[in-house]
Amino acid sequence: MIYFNNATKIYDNQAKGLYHISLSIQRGEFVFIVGSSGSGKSTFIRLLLKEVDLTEGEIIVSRQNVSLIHPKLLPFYRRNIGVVFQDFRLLPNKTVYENVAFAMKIVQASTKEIRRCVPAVLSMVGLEKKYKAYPNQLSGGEKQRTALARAIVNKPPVLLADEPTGNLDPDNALEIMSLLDEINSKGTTVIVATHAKDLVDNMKKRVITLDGGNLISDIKEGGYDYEDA
Amino acid sequence: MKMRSFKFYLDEAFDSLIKNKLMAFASAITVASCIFILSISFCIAKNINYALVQLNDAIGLSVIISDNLSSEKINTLYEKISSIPYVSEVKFVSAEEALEELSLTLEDSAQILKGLKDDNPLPRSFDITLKDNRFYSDAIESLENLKSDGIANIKHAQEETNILLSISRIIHVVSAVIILSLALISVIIIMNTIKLAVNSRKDEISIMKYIGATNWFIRWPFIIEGMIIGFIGSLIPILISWPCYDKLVVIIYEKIPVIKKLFEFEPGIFIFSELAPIALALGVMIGIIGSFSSVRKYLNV
Repeated sequence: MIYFNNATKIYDNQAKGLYHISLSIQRGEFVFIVGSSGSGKSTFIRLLLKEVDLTEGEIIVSRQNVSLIHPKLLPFYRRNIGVVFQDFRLLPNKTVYENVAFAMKIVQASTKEIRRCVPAVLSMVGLEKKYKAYPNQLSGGEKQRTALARAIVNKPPVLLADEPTGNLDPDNALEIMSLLDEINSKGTTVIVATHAKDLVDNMKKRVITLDGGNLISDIKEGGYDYEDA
Repeated sequence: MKMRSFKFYLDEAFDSLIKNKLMAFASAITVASCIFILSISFCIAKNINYALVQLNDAIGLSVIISDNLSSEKINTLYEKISSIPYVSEVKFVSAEEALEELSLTLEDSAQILKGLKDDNPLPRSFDITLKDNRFYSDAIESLENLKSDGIANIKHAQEETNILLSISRIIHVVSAVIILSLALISVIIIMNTIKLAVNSRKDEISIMKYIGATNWFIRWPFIIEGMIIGFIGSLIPILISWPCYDKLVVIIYEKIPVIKKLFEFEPGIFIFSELAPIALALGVMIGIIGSFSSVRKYLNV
């Protein structure tokens, strides 16, 4: 489903984002991308979102060469990728319900569909009682669960999470990982870039380790064995 | 654009206006201030122009008819003058009418003039109104050619008219420059205010991009918002300055009655029925341009 062929990203300041990475991720897989700061985890996510472009090589997602996607078609490509960030990136002036519904409005879902799907997904992430709250009235965990609900409400085949537990306490972090696991069990491919050693070790999923943009290891049911962690 | 999308854009625009009311208010006030200054300049320019028209009308052009000309020839002369392309109206003034007019002008000497009734020395004449005083010299030239048809003399104020026309031209240019400069300054100020408003929401725009919103999906609510701000911002100064102008004219007439004898102010209805559509269109256009250019900056995510 996702293929990195000799993918290389060198930034303008000559910093190596990713360096000659080749790997594949199958449909329905759960993959952790681990490594220290500057290892290339975020570049990996940003390249998949086409927030930045490759310097060399190619990335194929659902048979589409990401580098060749026309800017006008980029929004439609991104609708197939749910994304969750460390800083939640919720719309501050919209309630929990509106934030989630907004993602459906973008794909021009009908009001009827929105009214059916949003409560269901909010219930899945345990926020059915907080639907009227604004982001500034939520805890970190609740904000991330709202972001997660928004990311999956359109049922994208791929879900990317960039340090989703970075701003959360251990209990909330565990809860988010459980939710990601639950989403993955329903068939969504989940890719998580993280620093959370304990969570990675506990979950026994595929672990791709990066360092300075290079691929260090790629282990099925691996652990967070990166030495500087 | 689908109806559902249009409703969504409209809802988003109103929702955002309410939620970002402080910034929207600041933008609308900026638009209002600029349009208000523009309205004042427009009123002044229009009234100067109106005063010039009145002065132009006051400058006469008349033709003295030869003493011995028969009624038939006077009629022919009347037809010939009327057919000059620059002439809009020709009025015959008999010797009696001329004396009556003179006695009205010289109220104090009315008694002396009474004695002239039986032996009226005043000539018959035609009072001529031109379509446009810019053709004053052309009209005089045409009248000179009719001298052999019974014109004894042409009474004109060529020099005064030329001076007035020069003043009128200068005022037109100056007021156009002032209004255009003000409009340009307004556009720059307003666009910067809208840019600030949009800048405060750049994160919002980038989030929309990440979750797959198209550029137009993001733009439309901002554009509608800009239109609403521009419309309200330009409507307010019109609604305020119109009654204020009418009231001010009344006050000036009351306090300085002599003004009314010199010239009349242009009625507010004429000024504002011309200004309102210009101001509203300008406000809405500024809102659209401001929003469009400000959002564009943040769309490349």
